Amino acid sequence: MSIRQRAILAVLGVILSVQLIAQVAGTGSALWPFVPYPMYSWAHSAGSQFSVMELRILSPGSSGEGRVVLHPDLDVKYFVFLGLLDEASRFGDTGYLPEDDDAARLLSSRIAERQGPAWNKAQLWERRFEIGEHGLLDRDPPIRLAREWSLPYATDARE
Amino acid sequence: MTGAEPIDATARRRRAYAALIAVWAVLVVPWVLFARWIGPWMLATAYRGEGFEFLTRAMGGRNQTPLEVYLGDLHNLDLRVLATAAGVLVFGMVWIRQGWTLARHWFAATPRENLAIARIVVVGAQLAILSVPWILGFEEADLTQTDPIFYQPRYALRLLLAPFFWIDRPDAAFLHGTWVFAVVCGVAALLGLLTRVSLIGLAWASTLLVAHSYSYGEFHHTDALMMVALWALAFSRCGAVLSLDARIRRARGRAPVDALHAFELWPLRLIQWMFALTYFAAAVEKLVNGGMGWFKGTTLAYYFALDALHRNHPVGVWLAQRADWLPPLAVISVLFELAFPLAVLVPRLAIWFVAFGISFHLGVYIIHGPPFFGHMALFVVFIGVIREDLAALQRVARRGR
Repeated sequence: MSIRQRAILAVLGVILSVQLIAQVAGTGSALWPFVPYPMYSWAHSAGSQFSVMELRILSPGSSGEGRVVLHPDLDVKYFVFLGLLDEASRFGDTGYLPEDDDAARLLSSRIAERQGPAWNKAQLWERRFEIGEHGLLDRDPPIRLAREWSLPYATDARE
Repeated sequence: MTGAEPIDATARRRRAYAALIAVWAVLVVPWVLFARWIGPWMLATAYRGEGFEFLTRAMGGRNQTPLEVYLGDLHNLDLRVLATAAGVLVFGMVWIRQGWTLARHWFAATPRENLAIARIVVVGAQLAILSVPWILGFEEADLTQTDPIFYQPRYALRLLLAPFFWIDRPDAAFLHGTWVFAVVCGVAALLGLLTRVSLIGLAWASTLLVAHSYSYGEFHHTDALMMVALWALAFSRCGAVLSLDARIRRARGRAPVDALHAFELWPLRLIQWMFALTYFAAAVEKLVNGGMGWFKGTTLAYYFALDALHRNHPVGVWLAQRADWLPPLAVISVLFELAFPLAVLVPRLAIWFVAFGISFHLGVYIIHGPPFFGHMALFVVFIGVIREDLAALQRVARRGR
């Protein structure tokens, strides 16, 4: 082999080794684009549950279902948005905004910044799905109010 | 051929098998000793604050995290290393069986057209991904408007932004300019005009845009291989034929390049091996994290339902209600991923893996949404064996007539 071929092989060896290290050591996204591939790798059995969450905002005096807010409305990445909804829902329906509730606080500030201060309430609605022995049990379970809190940046709240 | 040659070849092969097993054992046995006995002891002593200080420091959260969690991490690492080592042994034997050498595997004389076709398909796919954002799935947020607390720039982004040292977080104008630059370079690379320069431009701009998009708290696997492929093409001679550069050279009266060349294969092989490594890794993760439970229909039913309900893919929801049908799909998926290195090592199998791989990613997209369109285009790196198989089919068809 020529020196050039050896040099190319050395570079290729480094590239493939970095990929191998990333996937064996589980380096997450640190070495992107050399990444491990653990997605969809955990087992789930009958009884596993997950939720599909929906964020709604309401203005003072509105009696309807409110307006559905999606991730582009808050300029947040899709899975980050889902993560925030999930984290916020874990506080249960407190009715207010606890100090350590970072997810709901972040959602509140994004709502104020991107949708304006006219909205005074946020609601998390949840559909809970369950996997049974033979698959998804109910494809259209009832939607329920999981949490509601007052938006601290709303115009009326400031007043 | 003399009678001695096959005997020599067999003896050589036996020696190669023995050497592979010896090297494998020399590497794996110490690892097993470390992972099963030394490592757990080191972790336990460090956890009590009596062992290596660096390990105790690394266990920053040991007040809240039980020792079992650290031992579990080591156990999972051990399983991944052993599974990978088993793969190296099995596919190393296939390598020897096929009679590969490094020179023949990476630098065999190859038609220049193969690499040029790969350039056209890969660059075309990347141009489509750049131009039609919905190809990669979700409606995108305006990341330049995202709260700064989400911004955690990837190393790749920092590296690519190095020439623009005054920019910490790219603004909308910079990103738009980079996108326009990527498209202009992409069109030039597709046509083969100033191919190397335009490909470096496309690879730089595309990697920067994706790395920026992945610097806000989430990342995906869909673009990783495509980025490596663009850089590999940028440093290859993929513009030697089927390009405006080649036409310009001919118009200037320069001699045409040889049809075959030894440096046309390595970029294709690199991506083939990246495919093999990443598929193998995906299978190992399923075996390590999910175990046999992964093959129960409820696992795929869960993932199909979760994704399909979020993304509104009715086929996925329908399949999620039929968990009893899903174990064969799970088995076939893992077998495909585990065995993919055979597509690189045994050329006659490649076309089957390519056909299955494209259907696999298309099926995955239709059922629950992950958009691996870049991967589908990247299967073009098997163009050499695909063209040979098609030519063989044509010959058979002609003889049949």
